[in-house]
Amino acid sequence: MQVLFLIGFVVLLDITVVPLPEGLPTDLYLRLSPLNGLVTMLARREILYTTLLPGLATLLITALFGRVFCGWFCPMGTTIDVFERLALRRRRYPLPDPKRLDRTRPIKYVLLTGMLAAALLSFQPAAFLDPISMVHRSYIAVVHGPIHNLAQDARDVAYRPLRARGRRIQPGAAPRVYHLNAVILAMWGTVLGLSAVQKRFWCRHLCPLGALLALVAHLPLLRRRVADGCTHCMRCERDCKMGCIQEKGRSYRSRECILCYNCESICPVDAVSFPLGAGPEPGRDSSHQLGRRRLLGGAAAGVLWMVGVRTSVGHARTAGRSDLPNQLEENTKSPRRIRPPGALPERQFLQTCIRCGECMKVCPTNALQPALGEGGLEGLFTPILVPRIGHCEERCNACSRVCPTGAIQNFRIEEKRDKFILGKASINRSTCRPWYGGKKCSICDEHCSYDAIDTRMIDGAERPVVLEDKCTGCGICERMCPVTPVAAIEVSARDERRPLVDEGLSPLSGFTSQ
Amino acid sequence: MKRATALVGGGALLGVGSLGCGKRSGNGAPQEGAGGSGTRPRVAAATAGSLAYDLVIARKAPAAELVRLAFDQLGGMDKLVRPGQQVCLKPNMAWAREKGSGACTNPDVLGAVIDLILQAGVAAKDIVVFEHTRDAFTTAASFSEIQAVCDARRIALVNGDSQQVYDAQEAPEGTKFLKPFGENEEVASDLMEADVVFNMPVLKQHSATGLSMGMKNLMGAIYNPRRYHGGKDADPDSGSQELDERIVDLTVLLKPKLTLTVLDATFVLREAGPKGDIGTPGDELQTLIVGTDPVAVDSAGAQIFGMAPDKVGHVKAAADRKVGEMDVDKLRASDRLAEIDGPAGPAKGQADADGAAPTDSSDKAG
Repeated sequence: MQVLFLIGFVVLLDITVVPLPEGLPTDLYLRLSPLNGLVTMLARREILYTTLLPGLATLLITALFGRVFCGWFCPMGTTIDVFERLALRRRRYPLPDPKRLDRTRPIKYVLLTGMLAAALLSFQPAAFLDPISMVHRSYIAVVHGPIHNLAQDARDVAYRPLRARGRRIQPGAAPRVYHLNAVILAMWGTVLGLSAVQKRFWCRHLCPLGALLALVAHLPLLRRRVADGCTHCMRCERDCKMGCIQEKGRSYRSRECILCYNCESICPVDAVSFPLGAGPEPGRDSSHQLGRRRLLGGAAAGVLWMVGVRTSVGHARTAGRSDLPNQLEENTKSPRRIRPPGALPERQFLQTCIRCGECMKVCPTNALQPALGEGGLEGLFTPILVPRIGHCEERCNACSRVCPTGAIQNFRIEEKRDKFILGKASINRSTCRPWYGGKKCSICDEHCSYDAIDTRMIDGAERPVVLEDKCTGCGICERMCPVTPVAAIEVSARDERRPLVDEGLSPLSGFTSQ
Repeated sequence: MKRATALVGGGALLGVGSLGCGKRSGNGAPQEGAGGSGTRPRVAAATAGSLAYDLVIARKAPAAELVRLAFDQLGGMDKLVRPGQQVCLKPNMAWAREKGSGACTNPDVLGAVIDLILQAGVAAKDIVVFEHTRDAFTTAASFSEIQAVCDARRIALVNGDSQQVYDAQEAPEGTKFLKPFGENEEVASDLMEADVVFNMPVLKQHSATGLSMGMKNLMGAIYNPRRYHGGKDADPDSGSQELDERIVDLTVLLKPKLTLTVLDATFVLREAGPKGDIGTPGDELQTLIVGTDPVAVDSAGAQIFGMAPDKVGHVKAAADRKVGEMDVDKLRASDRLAEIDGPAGPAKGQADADGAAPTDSSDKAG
């Protein structure tokens, strides 16, 4: 079952390609994380039905049945289990020491407090710590990319032999590129690698989503009961994924239990059961009661984190008016911070984008890449258009259709060309061949979808000129320019136009509706 | 890492690919009796000689009807293809533009040609449509409706994005840019290994070459058309002529492979070419030009468009280099040829000559 949910996750990720399947919620797993929804709504100070509703369902299920989400559904949790099964199968974990566990378990609540504090100050913290966001990003950049490329190579190799036998397959498509996959892998690898210390180390001590779910999971209907026949063999206590069984197997922590049913299945005398509704009270658990000092410390850490990250870009003041353009921000923005079409104005965008990477996965030209420094530290892993890799396809709105939070607003293809401007192209006359060498070249003109490049007779040769009013910054000119590696025509985020889409977010907007 | 995998893949492909080809010429032959690589040029030459005309212009009918008319006049599809042969069609599907815009080959024309080939007894699996698109392949294929046309007939539409489906071809005699620098051209293997190749371009305005027709369409059958716009090792004296001359080079290279050029002028993009603006319908000329000589077809196309062929750089350059015949009147052309500069092709200066005025010959003379 747990594996089925992981397969479902992988399948949904896999079908996040153009053409998008109609009516399938490709971002379902992201929406089901209540933490994503909560911090995004806090940061935006807006109710976002798209993210609120499925997240509420998760909270409700958790309150009723316990943390089944963590035990069965969470792709990160399952990945950790699989990783432990495969890479750490020889590892013999020592018997968990409840006292030591209790010292580190509260970390996740402190992190949650920090996230909420940062979110209250209009900062999006999910990018770094939400496991659902992280696992999407990681699978896309670290797993999907190489597998896709390998599959395309296989197609290429098989193409001609099959053709010779009268069978035709499509040859390999262009390889996918994901910048920063090393950084993404490092974060993910740390989460997985911590399992060498304790089983599900991330889930036990660090996961803020788990902390949020633990808060509502005190008295679920499914509670662990131990029958009198228990021989106190300690197998369940030793093998518990979450280390939440104590007192020689007799009691457990309901907030920590993820309902994996491991203890039930391995019990040699079948003494463990999870009856619905009639179980005994779980054991005492106070690790979520942080106390004033830790609560304040967590909040302060969140604020410091937010301020520190913000300092890397030109925010005039962190508490400045976010609805007005800020001159320092305008002057210091990276010219290569080119956002996808439909992206919210930059401040709201940073508050809303959870850096899950869905837009990068779906982009048919592979143009969207995770940013390193282009958006400041706050913009780490946010999508930027890299024209030399790909352009923003004129008749495509795929990224806006898969965005789970509406950071890339859902728009219709017909309104794309008039509404959004990603930036403007400009020609470097000292490298452009018609300009410096008098060569005949109008590749940029040929490819421009918006008729924004004119080839004019200037000083005795035909030379390309950018028509500023028509250019949308899609980047196809830069991509196709024969001058390498730095194109003679380049797009910058100058004069970008990122209006709000009138309809706003409909409850189903991110679900793949046209 | 990307480069490394590409190289490894390429190495593996060379081995496996040549193996596959060897098998095909050895084992595939008994099935149909023909198809070995040695016989291909002769097949093409023989069929061309048995045609009723070298050039046919069909006009004033719906697209599918035009195709039928043109191929009937040529002498029938049976003269061009035989069952068991591999057929490659190269339409212009560069852009995500709708049918009727004139930026891509009319899917109805393509569909009608495929239907005729199927009726001539060629199996669907032996027909392939190849294109190296400029916009993303999926959007270009779907907006142009060419994907739908191919799917309905179970024909493979091959995406030319992968460098590994191309083979480097040695530069033949008579090329200017390919030869002196030892450059090889990477051409689609589907095209090079086919027995019959129909180049199926669309007639349209083009910002770099004036017009885009048959010869220009061949740039969608190679891997790196970008290079055509003046590489760093290009002839420094050639200046603005380089693109035109390179298109001619490509024609010289591929002409032996081209059975026929089917130039679609049903809808003609008159401005903002080669892509055109969204929603701007093409000029409906209801014309189809079919011929064996790529230069002659392009020359006729230019005249249909309303331009003197020698004003189109690459057509003139091809004629100067004796790659083909620019003077259409010197060919065995269908009787409809006399009308080509009539109502179908109002020249730019004389667009008012809308009625039946087949007397104008200024374009042809020039």
